[in-house]
Amino acid sequence: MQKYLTTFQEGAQRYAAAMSGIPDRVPVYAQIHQLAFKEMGVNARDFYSQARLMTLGALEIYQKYGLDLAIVDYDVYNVEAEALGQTMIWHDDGTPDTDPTKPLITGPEDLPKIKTPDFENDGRFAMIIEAHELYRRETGVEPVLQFCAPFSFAVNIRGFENLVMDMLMEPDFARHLFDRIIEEVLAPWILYQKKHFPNAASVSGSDATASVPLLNLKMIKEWVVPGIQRLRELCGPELSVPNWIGEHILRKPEELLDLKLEVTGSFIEGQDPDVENLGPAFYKTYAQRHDVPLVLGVGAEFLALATPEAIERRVKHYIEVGGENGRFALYLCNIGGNTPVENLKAAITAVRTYGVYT
Amino acid sequence: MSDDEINLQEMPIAEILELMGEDLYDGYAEEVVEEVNECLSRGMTPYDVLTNGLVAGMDVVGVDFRDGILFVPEVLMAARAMKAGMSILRPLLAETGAQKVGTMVIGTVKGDIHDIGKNLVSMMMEGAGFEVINLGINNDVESFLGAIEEHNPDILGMSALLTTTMPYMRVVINALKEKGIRNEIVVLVGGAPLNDAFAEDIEADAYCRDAAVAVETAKKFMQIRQSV
Repeated sequence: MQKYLTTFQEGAQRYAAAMSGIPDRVPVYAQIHQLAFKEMGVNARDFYSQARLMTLGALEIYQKYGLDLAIVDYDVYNVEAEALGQTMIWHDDGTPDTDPTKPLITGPEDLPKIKTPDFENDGRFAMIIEAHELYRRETGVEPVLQFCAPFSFAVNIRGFENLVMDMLMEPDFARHLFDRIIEEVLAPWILYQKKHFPNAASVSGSDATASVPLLNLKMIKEWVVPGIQRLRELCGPELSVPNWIGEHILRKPEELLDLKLEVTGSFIEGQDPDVENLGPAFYKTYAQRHDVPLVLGVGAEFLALATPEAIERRVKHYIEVGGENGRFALYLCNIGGNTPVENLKAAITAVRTYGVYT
Repeated sequence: MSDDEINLQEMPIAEILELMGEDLYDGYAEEVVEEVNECLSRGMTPYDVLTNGLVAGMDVVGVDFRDGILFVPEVLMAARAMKAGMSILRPLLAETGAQKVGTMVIGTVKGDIHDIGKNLVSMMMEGAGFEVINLGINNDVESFLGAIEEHNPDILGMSALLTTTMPYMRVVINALKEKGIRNEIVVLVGGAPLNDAFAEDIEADAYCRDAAVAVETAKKFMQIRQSV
């Protein structure tokens, strides 16, 4: 039985309409995996390693709170690194992490460890495929395929400081590292997913670590963008990496948006604290000037710590400015396990109140 | 500074110190080492080389990082140059018994493995002349208390990137109170989800929004402690 068929097919249609024009209402979606395992009362280790728990549990939460879009929501930064043998830290009540104190790659001699995995047997790849199949069966919607983008992946197996110093002091080694990550692991993994889901319309990479001020613009331009563009060549133009932040720190914030556009192509995304600081009008103007739809993200910390009234005001503001004349969606960046459900409800209610197009 | 024309032996010491700051800013570790050695060879005390050369240079790095002129990679390069200079000065400072600016114990709290910001604070505090004991990630109360007992620091720094882990800072502060040592140590907290109100609520002494602010705040508290 496809329990979630109507809910998420309508949501997917609403999102598609919002990306191309004016839908009936602004679509809203969120990252909810931390809320999901908490509300389900299950151990996080089980949640992140069992496809049924992860997928069906999350769908229940998406539907319960009235989110338009669902994804297979998991710890997307970890899967590839873990499969290569990167030491992980698992928590009973939190998302697993790669252990930054024990990087898999300690020097050039470790590069052979970056090799194409056996996607049927290594790590959690098979579980991720199973989760997407469950998702498609239950919702009737093609899944968004996901991966950890090259820079964040490299950080996970090399360590942030090591990697940045490699890029500055040992660029040949760093290039080999990125090449192997892209050619040996990421492209094969994405193509493997696409083989299972040939009709998937979107392939989304996560790359929060490649943000300002962790990197400067020059390094993003010279190291990060080319890696993603190479993946687009290998895997298709539907591949995008939208989630760098930090433009509000820059004197010319649009310079980071220009780079984002190079790796998304079809839309522009801004999220707090950038949107909070620069204002939604800055993003709307940029999106209109480049004739692309806009996604604005309400920040995870704000959703967790603000009052429901403040959340309602911010959602209303983002919708009024960002949603003018359509081509707009709202994203709730992450609903953590300690985000009050009243705050989530306030955000969704505000979307349903202020986001209706007449 | 990579200009081969420069002859340190012919430069006044004030210019060498200025050059040291510029080279540190640019991340030129080898040049900083040469300049440190030149200053020492002219009879400057290790403490004066540290404060008037390296620390002064890192101060500029801190200000420019705070103001969005420099980013983390540039700070890492500067910290590397600082470290190279300190590798010469540290044993000499120990020999001469020079007074430390202060001591800090710092760590990411239990359940949280994010360490980029915390490590940056650690580097910049060292750059400001503090001795820093970096406990790493995922530290529980016992880890913090053990380090405090062992090192008797002036400052405890705690970091968290997640809204789910930041409440653990309160647990540590409450443990300090229970042990009767809360007033003996300055508690600074930082991390993306934190703010001033949270720091006040958990009874930390201050919230530091970035590494540069952490250094400025630590220095202010050290002045207060030393004036009491």
